Amino acid sequence: MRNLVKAMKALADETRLRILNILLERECCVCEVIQTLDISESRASRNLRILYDAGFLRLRKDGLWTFYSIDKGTTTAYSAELIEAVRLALADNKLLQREREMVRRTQRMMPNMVGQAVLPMRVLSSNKNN
Amino acid sequence: MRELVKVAKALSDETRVRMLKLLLEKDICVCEMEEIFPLSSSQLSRNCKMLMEAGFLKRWREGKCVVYVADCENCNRYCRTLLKMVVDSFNDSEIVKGDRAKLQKVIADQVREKRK
Repeated sequence: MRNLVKAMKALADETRLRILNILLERECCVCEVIQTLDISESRASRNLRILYDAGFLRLRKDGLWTFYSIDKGTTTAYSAELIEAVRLALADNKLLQREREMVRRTQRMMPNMVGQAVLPMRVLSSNKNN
Repeated sequence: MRELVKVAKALSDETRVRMLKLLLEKDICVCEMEEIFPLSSSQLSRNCKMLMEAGFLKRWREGKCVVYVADCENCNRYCRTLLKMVVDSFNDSEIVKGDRAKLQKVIADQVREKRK
């Protein structure tokens, strides 16, 4: 029961729901979360940590980057069902649709991609007012 | 999104989950809950209200008593998913078994009938 309570506490916050929302679209690194949601780094990291501890996320490190994604391997018994409930609940929200769209449209620029034609993350901020 | 936050808050407390677990099986009035949980009637009412506002419960009056029960039909789709999850979970938990035993005793003692 304690696991469920912890998971629900993790979901009881708008910032964390917004983070889950974009991660439902694809894997993101911390800086992508910061830019898409327009929040501070400490706020992003803290909330990612809470979601990770509650068993919703998977973490992958690559050099200096930390990538987070929805844990489909389900470390806790409820997380798969809860994620599905979250997806259903958030589907129609306009702000969340826009943030999903932002993540879908941008490509991550990694060091090995320098010189290739990719859309830099900077584009995100100019899209915000659309 | 605000609604989901409310729903998540309602379930982020062990006592409320235990209350919901019993209310999924039977309608219970606040005076009966007082015999089961070590909380005052105002605390119990507040917790019931949080669960009700999240869409999990419905209530009615029987004389002086306010009776609550889980409402599986009126809630939206994700609430139903969550309710089903609560129905399927913790059935072997000692705490829940203890709560059920207390509920049976309360029913046998006809606590509600005496207070009406």
